[in-house]
Amino acid sequence: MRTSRRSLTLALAFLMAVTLVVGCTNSASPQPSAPANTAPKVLTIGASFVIKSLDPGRTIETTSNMINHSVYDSLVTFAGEDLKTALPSMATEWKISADSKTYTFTLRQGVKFASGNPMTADDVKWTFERVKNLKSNPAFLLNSVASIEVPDPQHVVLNLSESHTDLLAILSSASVGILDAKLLKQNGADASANAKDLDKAETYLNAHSAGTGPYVLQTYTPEQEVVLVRNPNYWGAAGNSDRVVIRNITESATQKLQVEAGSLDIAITLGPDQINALKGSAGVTTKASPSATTFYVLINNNPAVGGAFSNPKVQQAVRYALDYDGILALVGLGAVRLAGVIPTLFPGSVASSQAPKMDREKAKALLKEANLGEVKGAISYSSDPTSQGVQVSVLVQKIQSDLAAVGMTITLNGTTRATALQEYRDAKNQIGVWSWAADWPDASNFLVFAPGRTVGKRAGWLEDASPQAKDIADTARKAESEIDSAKRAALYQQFEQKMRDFGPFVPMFQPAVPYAFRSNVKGVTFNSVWGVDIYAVSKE
Amino acid sequence: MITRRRERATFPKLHRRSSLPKVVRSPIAIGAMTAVALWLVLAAAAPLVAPYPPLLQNIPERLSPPGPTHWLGTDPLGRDILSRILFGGRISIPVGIGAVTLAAIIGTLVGSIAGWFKGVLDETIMRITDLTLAFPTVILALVITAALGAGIQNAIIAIMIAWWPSYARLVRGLVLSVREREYVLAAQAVGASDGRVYIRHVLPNIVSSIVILVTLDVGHAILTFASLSFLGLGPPPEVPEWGSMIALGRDYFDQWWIGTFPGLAILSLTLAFNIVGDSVRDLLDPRLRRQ
Amino acid sequence: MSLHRFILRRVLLIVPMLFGITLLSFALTQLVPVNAVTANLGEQAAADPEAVAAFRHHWGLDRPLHEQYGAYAWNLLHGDFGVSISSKRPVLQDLRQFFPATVELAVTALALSVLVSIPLGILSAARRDTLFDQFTRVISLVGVSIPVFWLGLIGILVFYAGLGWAPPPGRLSADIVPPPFVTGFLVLDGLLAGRIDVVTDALRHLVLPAIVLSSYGLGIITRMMRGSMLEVLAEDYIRTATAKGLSNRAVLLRHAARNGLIPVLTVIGLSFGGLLSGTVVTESVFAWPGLGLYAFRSATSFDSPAIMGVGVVIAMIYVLVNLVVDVLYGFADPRIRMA
Repeated sequence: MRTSRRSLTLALAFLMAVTLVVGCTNSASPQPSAPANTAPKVLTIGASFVIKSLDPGRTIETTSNMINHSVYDSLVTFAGEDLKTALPSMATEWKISADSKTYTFTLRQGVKFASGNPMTADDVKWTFERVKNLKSNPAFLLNSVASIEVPDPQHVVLNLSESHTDLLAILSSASVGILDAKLLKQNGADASANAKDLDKAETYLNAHSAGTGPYVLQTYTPEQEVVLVRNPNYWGAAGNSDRVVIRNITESATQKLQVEAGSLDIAITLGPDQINALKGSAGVTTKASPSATTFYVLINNNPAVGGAFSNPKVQQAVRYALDYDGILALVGLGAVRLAGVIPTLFPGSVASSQAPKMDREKAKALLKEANLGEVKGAISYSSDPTSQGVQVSVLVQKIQSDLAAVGMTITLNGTTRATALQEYRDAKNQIGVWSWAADWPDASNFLVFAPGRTVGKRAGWLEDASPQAKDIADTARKAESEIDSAKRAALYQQFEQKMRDFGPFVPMFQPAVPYAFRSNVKGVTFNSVWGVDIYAVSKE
Repeated sequence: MITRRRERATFPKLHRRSSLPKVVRSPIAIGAMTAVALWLVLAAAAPLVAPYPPLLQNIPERLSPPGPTHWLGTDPLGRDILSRILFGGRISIPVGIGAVTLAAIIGTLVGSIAGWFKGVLDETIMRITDLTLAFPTVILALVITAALGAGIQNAIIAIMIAWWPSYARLVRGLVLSVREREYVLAAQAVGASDGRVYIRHVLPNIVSSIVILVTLDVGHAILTFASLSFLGLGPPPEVPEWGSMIALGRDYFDQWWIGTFPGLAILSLTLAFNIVGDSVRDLLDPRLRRQ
Repeated sequence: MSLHRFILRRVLLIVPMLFGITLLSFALTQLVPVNAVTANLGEQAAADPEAVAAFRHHWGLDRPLHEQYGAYAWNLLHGDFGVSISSKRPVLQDLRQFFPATVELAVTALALSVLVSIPLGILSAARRDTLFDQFTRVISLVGVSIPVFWLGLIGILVFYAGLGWAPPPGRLSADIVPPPFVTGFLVLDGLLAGRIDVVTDALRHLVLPAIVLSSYGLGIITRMMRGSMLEVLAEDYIRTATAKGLSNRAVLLRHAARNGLIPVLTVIGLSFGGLLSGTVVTESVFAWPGLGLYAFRSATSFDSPAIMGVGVVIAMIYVLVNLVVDVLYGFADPRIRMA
């Protein structure tokens, strides 16, 4: 029989595979068994993993941030959802020079790493230099830091190359959490100028942590789960949970089911429809946290890529074609309409009431004026399930239908994250639907939309595109170097106003990230930079 | 001598020849053929029969349960699920039939060459088919669509690449055996060219086996395509493809209608095709005739 | 030719085969219009040419293609599958982690389908054309026609969301500490470590996905068993046995079934192939951390070493076993060797 050999083959294949696997010697990561009788307090969190690495010097992703925030302490921190007031963490006091170019930090005394090594100013200097010299994902955070000095073991001085008022916000990031230099140097870490070639500590840091935080990394099983256990050497009050398990669950519906059934204590990847369904559930509390993220439509200003869409009238037409009410209804409760690219959380953001409203007649008239005949376009986006509570693939279908209502023919070009990101970064999107999340809590994050800057370039928008573009770029420069906070806010607002009716960006909304937790879990907060503050959570 | 009481044999008797094989006359077979015909008609007439356009969004009515205005409910964008299912047939059916037919054609060509010329060519072709068969279908299709990009065409190509080897092997085996038959040797002895011999004498004798395999495979092709589309490797999301509709249902357990009905559509169509495929095999397979 | 030369010939053919497989995998990963840089660097870093250069150098992506392939092939010969760009661990380690999960699931599903199908097929053939037979035929047809991923979703909907009988998707509950990794099969490892809680929990999690995955095998094996039994029951020696006075059950079990099973054994193997394909979607629906899920994630994130690793392992095993089977056949049937 034709099939017989193949079938026998496959049967034996599996037998051999089993022997291959079983016969191999060393096991995978060790899994210590739990103590026999005590029932440890376990906190279970469901998240859709975005983890490339757990090495703070190499990561800036959301889920990694949440984990590292509980495992490493940075110089300063924020409480819960308040992203405006910096609080002491590893630094107890700080002085900022008048020109905002010199920051002096007084360090907390008597802090030990989980390994038992004492935390000193040298660890701070080493950590920061490592981040810069690794030249990996979070390196840009410390771009403005020209040099780091340690005048004595209690103080660290950061000298900036230009004045920056957002440094404190930047330093709260878990990516610049203080690392145990001594321990890591024993495990292949390097912070010298050639760190990017010499440092070999990533593998170590993916299996162990080296910080001062309330928890310690016990295991990291990629794509599956992360387990944290309490740090016995923590300098503050002990964390409430003995064990924290963060599980990778990509479907929001599954997370919803599990938090309802009690298998999860906290679910942080939910969509608006799941939250609505959970509202009536006994034993579950639902919340939405405003997210420092802008969801926007990107239109390519470069005629070679944008085609008809590089025409300013068409760009305007898109602004008036979208059914913003419908979009907000789709995206869920707590989503806020954005008039400009800066989320309303930050000073400098223009009020939502000033945002363009849907006006399809105007859009059709604009298209007629542009006189381009039939306008065809393709929307590129990442087809991953849910991002910040928003199901992008559903959102783009709505946008497609809105644009079709004024006569534009749109095809959807959704690809998996990797491919989609590539095209976006290569400035090859004709139209794109993307989000930009703040890496640190400050409006300066969003100057990347200016012509010639990171996102501006991705829309093919350069400073010399037009006199208005140059003007907007100048405004951006003035805003970021302005020291006085009131003047700075006014400049940011100007920046936004100028882009309201002009330019290749159509900001849509700022989502509220919905999350849910069992009612017997207290202290749950969520901010868009590091998610849940695990330390603050307690289970009754 | 010990006599034992004879027990009545309740075993099936040998079948006598009937005019049409019993399978084809059975109510199940007739039901299946009707179902296939019905699906073909519905798919073809979808623009006339469907109550709503498949792409029409209606945000205020999103996520409505089955009811008088929307018999099968609406999806997260307010689109009518019944209409989308009907239009979905216009994709799944042609893709299923098309992909298998293409695989069969390529496989027949390659397999015939291998079986006819034998030697090194045969060996090479057999190694290539071994290589391709080494990857489980879905994984191979997955890598191909990931490389080429999502979309109907690429999904068809992926299925084709994954399936032609089975046809090649079948045809090779058939050609190898038919080639040695007397009438073929006779034709060659008389001086007929290879091509003529192949078309006139070999092909007609292997066609029925190929057709059997094709009809049996159509259902499987529909399932494979739905799987690829479920994984996100099929047509773009606004297109009403059943697999991606089920994937959307994953995020909406409370709105069970979103994922349930498209699955019933796939099941009914595949089931019908499989039963029809069985009937075709019973009809055409000479060995079973004796029963 | 002699058996020795036959075996030698087949062994020698393996080398170009493996070469072909790795080349095929490598070529496929080069076809993709994206590189690993994008898949793995954050927004700001990807905009910084220095960061990009550092990443590429670190992963050897800046070397010419043939060098990259050469290095890969050389390492492969030493058992080094390279390092996964996504998980930053050796691919072999990833494979060792994910492989047992798939095997555990697949073997359970296969066992289920075999244990149910064979008796079902036998009885169905014995009671031909009765209601029971019709019912069985419908069940088996449905089994081969039902989309596995849909069945899984319905299963979760009904048995987890609706009735609460089944546990949430996954292998183990979150509050159970996993046992030490010995075989990777949770049930076995649990037994070896004396942890009954692990064993029961793992089994509970195994039930629904295994049933779902077994649907195709159930369908096809039942059909074949029934068909094969029908053929056997029509044979002369069955009539003889009945005529000699043996009871129905004795004839059925002692003569018919044994002969009927032989062709079915090959179909059991055939359904195994469909099982592997089915694991990709089943693991996706049930969040089962196995090879199927790993293959899907690697393919969509263009993690070339991982894709090649998965492809090579599966294909390699297939090729090796093909050899064993050919040899066995060669032993049994001398004609094959001549072909």
